[in-house]
Amino acid sequence: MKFTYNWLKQYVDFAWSPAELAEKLTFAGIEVEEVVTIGGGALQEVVICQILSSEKHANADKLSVCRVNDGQGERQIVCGAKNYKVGDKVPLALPGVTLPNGMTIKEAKLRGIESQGMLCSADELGLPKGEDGLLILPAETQVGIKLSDALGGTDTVFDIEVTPNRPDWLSIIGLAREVSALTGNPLKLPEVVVTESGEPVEKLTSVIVEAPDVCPRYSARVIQGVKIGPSPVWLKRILEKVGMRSVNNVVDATNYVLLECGHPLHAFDYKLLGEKRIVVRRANKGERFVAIDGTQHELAPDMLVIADARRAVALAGIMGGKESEINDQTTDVLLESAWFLPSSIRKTSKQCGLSSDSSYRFERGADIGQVVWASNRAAQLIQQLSGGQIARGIIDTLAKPIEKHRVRCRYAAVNRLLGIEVPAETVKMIFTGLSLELISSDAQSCEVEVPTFRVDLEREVDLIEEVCRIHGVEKIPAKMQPARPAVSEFDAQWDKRARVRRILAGLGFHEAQNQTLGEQGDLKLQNPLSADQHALRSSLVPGLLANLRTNVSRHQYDVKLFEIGRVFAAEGKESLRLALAVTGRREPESWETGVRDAKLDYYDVKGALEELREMLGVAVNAEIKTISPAQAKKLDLRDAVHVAEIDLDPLLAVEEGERTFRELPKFPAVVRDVALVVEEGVQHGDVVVAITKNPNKILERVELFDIYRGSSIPTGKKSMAYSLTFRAPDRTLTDTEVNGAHEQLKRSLLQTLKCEIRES
Amino acid sequence: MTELEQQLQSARAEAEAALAACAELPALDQLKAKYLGRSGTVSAALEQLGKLPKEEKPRIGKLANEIKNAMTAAIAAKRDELEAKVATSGPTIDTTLPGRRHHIGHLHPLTQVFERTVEVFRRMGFAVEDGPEIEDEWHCFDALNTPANHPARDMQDTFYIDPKAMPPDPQLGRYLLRTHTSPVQVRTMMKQKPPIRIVALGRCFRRDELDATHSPTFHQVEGLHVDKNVTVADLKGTVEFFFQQLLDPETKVRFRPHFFPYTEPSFEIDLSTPHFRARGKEWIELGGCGMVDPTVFKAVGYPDDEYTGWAFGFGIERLAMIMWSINDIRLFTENDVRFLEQF
Repeated sequence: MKFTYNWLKQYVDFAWSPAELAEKLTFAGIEVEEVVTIGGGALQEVVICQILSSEKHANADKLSVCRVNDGQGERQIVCGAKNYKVGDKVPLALPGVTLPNGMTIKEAKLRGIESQGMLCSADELGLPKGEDGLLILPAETQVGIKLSDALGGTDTVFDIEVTPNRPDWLSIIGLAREVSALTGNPLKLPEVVVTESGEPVEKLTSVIVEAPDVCPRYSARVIQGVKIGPSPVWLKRILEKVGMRSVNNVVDATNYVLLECGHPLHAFDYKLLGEKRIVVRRANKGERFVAIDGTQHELAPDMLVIADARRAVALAGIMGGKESEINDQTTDVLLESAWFLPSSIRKTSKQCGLSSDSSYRFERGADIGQVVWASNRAAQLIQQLSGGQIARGIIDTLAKPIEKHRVRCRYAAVNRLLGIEVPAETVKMIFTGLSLELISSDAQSCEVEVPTFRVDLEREVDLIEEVCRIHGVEKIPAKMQPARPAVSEFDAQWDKRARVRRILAGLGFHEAQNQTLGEQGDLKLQNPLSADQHALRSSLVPGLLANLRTNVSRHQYDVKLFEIGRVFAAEGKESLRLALAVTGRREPESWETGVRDAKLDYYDVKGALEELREMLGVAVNAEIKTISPAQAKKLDLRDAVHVAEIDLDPLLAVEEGERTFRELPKFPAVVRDVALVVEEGVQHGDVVVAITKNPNKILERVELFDIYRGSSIPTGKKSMAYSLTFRAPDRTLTDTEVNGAHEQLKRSLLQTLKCEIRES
Repeated sequence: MTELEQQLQSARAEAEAALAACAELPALDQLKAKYLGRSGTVSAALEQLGKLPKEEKPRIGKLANEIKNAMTAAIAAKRDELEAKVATSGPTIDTTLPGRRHHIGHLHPLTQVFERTVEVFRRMGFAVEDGPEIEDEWHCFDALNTPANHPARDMQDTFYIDPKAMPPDPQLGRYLLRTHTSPVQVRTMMKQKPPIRIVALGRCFRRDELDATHSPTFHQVEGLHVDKNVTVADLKGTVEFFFQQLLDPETKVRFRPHFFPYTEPSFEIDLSTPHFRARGKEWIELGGCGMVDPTVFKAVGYPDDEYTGWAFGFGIERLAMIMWSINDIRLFTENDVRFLEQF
């Protein structure tokens, strides 16, 4: 919402500069988004002059030659406008002045005649566009003063963001009330005097409210004989400054009252209302409505409309109808001031996709107590701006008196929540400063009556917030309670995840994080943003593959990534996964020759998982998938890709096996090698099984140290060399013992596997 | 002088000369074998000791041992000398060549902020809590004083789960992707009585199109402290300590009154650090906080007027972007290694 500094000053006195005001409002809880000074720049350089004479230019039909008085003396100006007369006061830009459009004025000859400056239009000065030609100032304007002073000086426009709990701040009076509470200076409300004449309003119209549950109050006035025309400059200027379009004097009057007191009003063309009466009712199913902005709506039975005898003439609280709007021919006006239930307005506004300054306020909560004040204020303004007679009286459907909330506030509760001692007197002063009426008070507490414009104050805690806000949160010291040991079930999980991340980082994997929403997944959204983000991921792999693609497309060919994140099953079950993905070369670029071209493969991923198992002390089982270079190329990747994905929850849930120290061996080991020539199909696992099938008490370890294919090995076969470590815990082994065990092992291998033993 | 004595003395002189002339390790090894080896000169001489007359044995034996020890020591000294020479010869080390590295992986920048956040909270005695990313309307909104007609619950702002997959619960309402981490507060308060000191962090979702400053997936952190006498003063002190620990001891913190449905009073938190100030930004808005609204205590079943508490939270992406001057939120999920390696 926008308001201006000068305008606010009409309602309350304060000595703050615009910057100070911005700061004060900010700390009262009103976020100031933008502060713009207007009327500065060229307007402070352009002066007011009076036209003394005007003659036709000898060499140009469309130009005139004027003599003007600029307060210092006479000047000759060549001018192209037609709308002035001798004696008018107009803006004059002297040589050297630069106008908002960038034009710098110089003394020049126009068609052979000297011109010592330029008379300006509103447009040329960056002001709201008025009639064509020069900007004519009121006759009483002093000659020689700056234009900015003639227009009421400079002003500052504030754009503020009001939180949804404070609809009362959506008006200049509401803001002035806040400034009044902060300064202690009184609020200056405009004097409202309604001069009524002619017939009583009840003879001219009637109001039937068929839906009092959503419209507990509806008021109507009738003003007859108005003359529709443009609004005066002061009104246009205020509307312009706060970003509202000037329409005509009647509509502008209602908009002005909305900005002034925050209460939305609507003016109907009285003569265009069927039977000239108002019915507040729910819409008929399928009822059609064309709003002032030209949009067409098919209404539903839960929407509230303002109707005449025949049709909907307004979508209640949101927007008036095209057919009954104020137009150039309007002479009689029916002025609506009402109060609608916020939830009803919000719902209808959303359903129709129609919102307005009016609906914005009603859906946050307007002040039911100022319905008549707002109507009177608008009637007064309409009469002032467009003439007409205000019919006697006002129709007001308020059935039962408005109940004001009373809330008790215990001083101890204030202190308990804020952590400081706020004296009872200060608390009460804050309340009365905010226009809360003090009903009673004792040593422990006070009770206040909440005015109707404060829809947010319902409970004690709401009052305590006001104390905190007005007293100033900066006055509350920063304290800290002593730390206490705290632990949750999740803490251990958190720590384990951190360990997993560090182990993988230590192995050279970078950590990735991907979006949860994507194209693939078993669980779908009801309202996705787009088809490529319609599902919750059920695997981390697609995200990591996309990351590899991104990197490869940017010429980062060697990538090792991992991600820990949640995935979702079709019925909504969440689980934590870990995924790894690698592509490209194993070793980074180096100045050393050696293995620099070796590509990452299956065993790199497997090795990483084995490290994890070793470090965590729990089994880590994962299927490792390989995307061959040929398949990878189809995915815009260059080298083979290897991925693995595991469920992390079970892994993290396993209690780490208790580790027990094993004594270091006291006696030496004997190592013997054995090389087997086997069929290609024989796996390492088969050999290990064959070796360990007949456990030998002194065989401590079996380690594969070489796989060889090539010369001296027949095609289709390979040589696998194992080193066998023999050791006894209680003595040094003799050669005979070891030889015996080794021979026995070789025999058993020959029996179990189809192999040859290669003696070296 | 006996023949043997002479033999020994000349062997010693010969060995000393050879040792002085020896310039390489293999030659030293040969030399050692020649004089001290099993069949070397000294050993041979010692073997003859037995044949000597009884009265000469001790004297010559002693001499032989002296010579043996002296030669052993001289050879060892020569070895040290030659080895030292070898060590300093050969190709010199280019100390400017890069070392042989293993290239440790980097943790994601958001993870780093998470971990630092948890570290600081733990210093203050807070436990880490967690909750589901798929929430229901009751935990995400109703319990947090955000009633059914509140704009935050619009289909426009919140992702709802396909009701065919997860039909709405009669009590808890529709299922959705949590829009903030605050449901963790609710779940924690429902399972335990105060005192509660927790920090919850995790992924949240809002129906925002992905662009440079918005992401449908983002992360939040929030702390909650509920006990018999928790005050705004405690909130201020904790928030201040937290950001001073996380960012810079010179960090200034400012509280501005604001509105959130689940806290009363509520504040927005502005920070000013030397780092921001150096870049011409006096105050940066980061996060919100407030005193837990009594409506929330009521929803979780706490008795009236018994407890007070504060809650505060902020967005991890926003903090990370400010901390490191990151200008595009999409970088966090692109996972370009050149980005990740910077943190």
